[in-house]
Amino acid sequence: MHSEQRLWVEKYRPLCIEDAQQIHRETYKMLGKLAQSDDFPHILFYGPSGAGKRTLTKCLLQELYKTNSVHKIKSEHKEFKASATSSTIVECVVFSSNFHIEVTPSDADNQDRVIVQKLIKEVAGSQQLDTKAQKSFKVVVIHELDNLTREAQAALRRTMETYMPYCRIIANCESLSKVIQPLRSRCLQVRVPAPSGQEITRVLDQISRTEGFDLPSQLAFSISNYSRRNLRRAIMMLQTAKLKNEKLSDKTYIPAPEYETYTRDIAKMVVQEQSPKQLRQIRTKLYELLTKGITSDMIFQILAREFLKKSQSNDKNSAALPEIIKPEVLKFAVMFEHRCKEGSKAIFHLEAFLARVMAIFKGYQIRAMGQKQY
Amino acid sequence: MVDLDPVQRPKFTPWVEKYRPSKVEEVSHQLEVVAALRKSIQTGQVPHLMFYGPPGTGKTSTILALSKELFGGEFFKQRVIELNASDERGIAVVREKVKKFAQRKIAKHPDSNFNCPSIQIVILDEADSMTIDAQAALRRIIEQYSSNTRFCIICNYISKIIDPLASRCVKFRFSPIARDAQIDRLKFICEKENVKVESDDVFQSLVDISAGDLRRSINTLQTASTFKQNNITKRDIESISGIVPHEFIIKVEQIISNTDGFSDVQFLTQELLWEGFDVQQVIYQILDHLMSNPKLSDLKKARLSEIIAETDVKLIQGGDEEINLLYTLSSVSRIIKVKNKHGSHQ
Ligand SMILES: Nc1ncnc2c1ncn2[C@@H]1O[C@H](COP(=O)(O)OP(=O)(O)OP(=O)(O)O)[C@@H](O)[C@H]1O
Ligand SMILES: Nc1ncnc2c1ncn2[C@@H]1O[C@H](COP(=O)(O)OP(=O)(O)OP(=O)(O)O)[C@@H](O)[C@H]1O
Ligand SMILES: [Mg+2]
Repeated sequence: MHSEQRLWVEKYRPLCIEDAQQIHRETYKMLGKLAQSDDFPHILFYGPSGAGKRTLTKCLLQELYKTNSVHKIKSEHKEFKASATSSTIVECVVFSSNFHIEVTPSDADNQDRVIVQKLIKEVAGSQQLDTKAQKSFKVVVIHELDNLTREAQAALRRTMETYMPYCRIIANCESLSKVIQPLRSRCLQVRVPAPSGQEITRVLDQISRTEGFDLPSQLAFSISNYSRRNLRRAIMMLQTAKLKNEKLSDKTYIPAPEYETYTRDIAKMVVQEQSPKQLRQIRTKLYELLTKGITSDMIFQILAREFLKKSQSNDKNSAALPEIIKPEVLKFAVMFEHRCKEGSKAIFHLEAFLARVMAIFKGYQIRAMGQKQY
Repeated sequence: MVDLDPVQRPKFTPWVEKYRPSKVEEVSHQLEVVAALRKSIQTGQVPHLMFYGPPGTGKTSTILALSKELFGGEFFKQRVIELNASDERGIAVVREKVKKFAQRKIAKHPDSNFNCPSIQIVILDEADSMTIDAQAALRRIIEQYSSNTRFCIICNYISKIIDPLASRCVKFRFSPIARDAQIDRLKFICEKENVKVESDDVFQSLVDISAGDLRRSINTLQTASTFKQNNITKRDIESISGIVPHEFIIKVEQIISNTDGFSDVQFLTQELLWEGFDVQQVIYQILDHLMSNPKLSDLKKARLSEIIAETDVKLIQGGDEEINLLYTLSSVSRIIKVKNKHGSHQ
């Protein structure tokens, strides 16, 4: 049963361009051509989560160096002094092959600048280790560029110019607007859209065939729907469903991720009762989400989606708010989300937002009642 | 710093580096700076300088070119130190490095006929990312060594530099590179690299996507040329430029002008995000498109720009893309749908 346990998202991740033809075919073709030439630029992949950015990076490395050993990765724990005068130690994990290194500097939170200044600059400035390599440069892969502080991003600027003869950066991000302009100006920006529902079902079909089980088309369709066009999520859902059920049918239950249902419950609570007591209970729930590592961004997104979605008259349980107050609720979502970024404690701003939604909704109900009596 | 033997350097250099101006006179578009620095080169008199302006407009290039002209080709490395955001720049480190550099005996130019001014230059590039404390400390450092050391402070946003520091420098603004200047430079590069474009439209669209950033247009041209050397078309440029296809903008316009509920806009927002478009780019292009619509009154147009400016700030400060895009599109939708009181203003 060993193979069952291996995550399908890794097992079925294509590692070379020829195997990756199910999605983003044009992009792979373009990158294949680019990799042939010596005019290879710094690259920034941008697009939603689970769209295939990491996979593109891996296939591109393979295409650049024409060897499987780009996938032979070793990991190493590194430590750096935060500055010449301080005793703070900044840690990070570096993944590397003979041809490239991979880092997620944002793992070091506010000290990410140190990783860029020490590690990346040093690697970028040294020669390709393997002198027989296809390319004279090595690659530094930077994950989640949009999560780097501005200082860390700025620290990349001259490094990308000065060491270009020996080094190329391949970075990825979800929100391009969080990447500073000077960096965007230095890269070829490659958009990676989320695969369509059809493409997702095709990948799922392929996996089920290789694993040797039946995937009813209706179920494939609902998984692709629930996945919100996130291919990683869709593959995970399929594997979970298969683990829990011997045989898959159209009716196999596909659970949504727990944090999502949990956040939706919070939205419902706001609509069900508007009182200080209810707000206290909500606070406990918010705390729980935050301590589980769910970001305030995600929570705001789900809450806003729930409040603003179309109300279904037959769904008594819905958190959808009346059309007329939606603009105001959205205005406050934007305002409190912004404050959340500026401030330090996410919980305050999330709670303040929900308190405001309660007040707006209550006001609406009172007005509506008044009109009825009149 | 790691410095490799020049013979080992691979042949390939990106065009942005290959065509980096090596003389101040070659810097495009920044006439005021060029004129002032021309004098400096003639007289050997250099004030403390401050260059500010958006990316890819020639700031780093200009100071490097000036250094080479003042001190001569390779020798300039003896007289110039560059500290940029890739270096550690806490107060202690800056003080130590500058002190070491400024207190050395000034190196003599090997060619005694070369008229070399007896000063040295400290370049503080990308200074926006220095802390306020480090900037404050710099103030003293500048004074201390100003007998033979000149400072050049470079940044994107002048507002990020404390006033006492800025006021010690002669300030030059580097403006976005104008259309004609960009096209001249791009044509020059095409000629040198033997790259042919289908028509001049190609240059127009390079300039359009660059928003005044010459580095970006040169990079885009080079990438396009790796796909084909001849007959590069406008479409080739657009496909790698990150602009949102026109069909999408039209679709957005149709939906936001006709919807009467939130859910359509919500769905549209989701789709734009799934397509992975750069959200800032989406809203700029929508604004652009609506601004050219003669049926919208000036008042409405003013309100549209206001909404979009507000969102732009939020996004740059790290605001969530989904919530902000939804807010912008639904606000824009409400503004353009309001019936004009006195008929449309045309
Ligand atoms: N071209 C492809 N063909 C088949 N499957 C793919 C392809 N690209 C990606 N996948 C599958 O989709 C999953 C998610 O892709 P990937 O990890 O590359 O996404 P990502 O955009 O980097 O996500 P994130 O931003 O969340 O890290 C992978 O585990 C892989 O199994
Ligand atoms: N005014 C200009 N004249 C000629 N070439 C220019 C000019 N501005 C930019 N370039 C081209 O763009 C490249 C980058 O310019 P430069 O490094 O001077 O930009 P910068 O203003 O320092 O940008 P940043 O703020 O991103 O550091 C140069 O190597 C050159 O090829
Ligand atoms: Mg610069």
